[in-house]
Amino acid sequence: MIRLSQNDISGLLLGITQKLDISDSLYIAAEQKYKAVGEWLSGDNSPFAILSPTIYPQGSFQFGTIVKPLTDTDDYDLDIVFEVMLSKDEITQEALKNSVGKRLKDHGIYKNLLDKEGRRCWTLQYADSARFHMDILPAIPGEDVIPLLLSMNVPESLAKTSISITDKTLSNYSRINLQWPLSNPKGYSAWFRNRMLIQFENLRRIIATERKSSLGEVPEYTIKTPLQRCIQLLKRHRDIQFAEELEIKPASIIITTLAANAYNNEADLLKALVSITDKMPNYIINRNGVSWVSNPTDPRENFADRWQEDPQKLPAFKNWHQQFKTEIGDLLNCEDLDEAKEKLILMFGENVSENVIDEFKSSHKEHNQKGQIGIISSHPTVEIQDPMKPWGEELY
Amino acid sequence: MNLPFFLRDQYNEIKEIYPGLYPPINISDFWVISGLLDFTAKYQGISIKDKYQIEILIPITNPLHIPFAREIGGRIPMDFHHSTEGLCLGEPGRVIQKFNEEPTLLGFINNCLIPYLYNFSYKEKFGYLIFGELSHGTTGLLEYYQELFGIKDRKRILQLLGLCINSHLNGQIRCPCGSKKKLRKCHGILLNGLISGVPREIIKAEYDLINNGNKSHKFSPR
Repeated sequence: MIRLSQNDISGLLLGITQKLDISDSLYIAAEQKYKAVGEWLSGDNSPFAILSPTIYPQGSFQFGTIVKPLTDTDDYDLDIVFEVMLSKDEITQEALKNSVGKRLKDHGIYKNLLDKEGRRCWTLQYADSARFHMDILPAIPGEDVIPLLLSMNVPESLAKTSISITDKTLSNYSRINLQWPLSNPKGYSAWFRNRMLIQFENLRRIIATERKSSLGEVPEYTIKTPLQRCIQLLKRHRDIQFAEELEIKPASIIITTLAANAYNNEADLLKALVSITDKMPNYIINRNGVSWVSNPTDPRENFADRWQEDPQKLPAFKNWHQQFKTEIGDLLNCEDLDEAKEKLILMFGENVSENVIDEFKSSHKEHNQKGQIGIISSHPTVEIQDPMKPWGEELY
Repeated sequence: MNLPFFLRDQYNEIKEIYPGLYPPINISDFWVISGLLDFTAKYQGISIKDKYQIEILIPITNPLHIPFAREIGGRIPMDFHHSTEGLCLGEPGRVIQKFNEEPTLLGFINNCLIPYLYNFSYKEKFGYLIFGELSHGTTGLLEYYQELFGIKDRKRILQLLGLCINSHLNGQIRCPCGSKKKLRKCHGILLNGLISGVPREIIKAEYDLINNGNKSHKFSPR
């Protein structure tokens, strides 16, 4: 029997998240594919070539919170934005959407991958072996909303990347009109990065030191902070809990936003997880009786707006969160590896958990054979003289 | 943004002793040094070796200001001597005096931060705070001055502090503490120490707090 310390449990959870990561080769393949789409949409023969087109990823691929799908038949979801320099008085939502669609249909391969038109996106469904699909979101700059966002205390650095997107269900879809739906993937991504900046920079240094390379040479997708790891664990647990009830599954953007708000740059995964799990519901606020998960780049947007439409969704979220909290508590009380294995399988699935437990066992064996090597610390002793008594402000 | 030279030099000095601390990075209004502070500290013969995940924040607009410190490993609970900026290392005026004895990052870590952490580790080990603690808020300020001046009476403490705020000390007056001695032969020396070591606006702010116990006033002396 192997007795477990909190460090061991932290290590097991870290192991699980590594199993949930997208593989390097798949990541690189995905990156190449979206860049190729970008080149086709922006290339010399393209009608967009003169409109300073840019293409960039958004969503979990961009945040580094991607989680391996539950089964081998499920896809990874790669969300990208295609943004061109046009203004709302020059083009309708429909014309923008259709011209992107047309350009995709002009390509020998993409025309066969193209799925049925989505509400806001075009989707390329790659072959099964590639294991992902790509949602392409046509967009134009949304700079006219910047003054409004600034007046709502959104920092300028976040507000300035706002974009306008299309929605074919809207009544003004086919008319020149200034009321386009808004989004701000770059701003959100910057906010998210900022929430974990300290640990991100720490890890970048650690990896650079290990690889004996410069900071700039460390690929950002290889840096995974405890926040990103916690979100992976939460999402995986959700995927399992709602495998049979997809229609009420809590949205990734809600989990990501609540967790990032609750994160306090803890360095240890388990500490981060316990604290995030505790605090994340505090960021669901009540606005005039509506449960509200605020978009940090646009306080007018409620990420949880669908909780209004379907009264089952909020209780589903609450129950899932409570379940996760309870199970983490149970995991912390596990005394030996077999007990922990059972709990991990329940929370994160059989395959990943068994792999991690096996690896843990073999490394444990190795460790015991080598014996513990004490670390001798060389720093001098601080002689404390005339110490201060700690004081505290009254926190109102 | 470029790291100011003196901060780079001060960082180089601390990294030799505390290699777990990473170089300053710029995060919004601060230079932030974070990492593992692994230390051994000794007080009255009791040596404690411990480590904490910490952050030290130096305001960019005022880098000569006393740094703020935070514990980010989740070990020190929020209800243990915190202010809005981070750990509350001591009574604000006293922290400034202490810091100015050795006004560098290393001095801050050794004289202000490590003793605070030692106090906390000691409590974890032995169940009580070896250096004691002050109450939160105005009550704690009053306790501090009661101890410093060796008198209990709030009014007399206010009179003594009042002398520090006003123009200059007249050693010939009777000491307000009630000893009937002349000021220069009584609390005058202590008051001179306060005047030279603590910015007047801080003494003034504390005076006002103790005077009216005004709880709505947000106290942020640093």
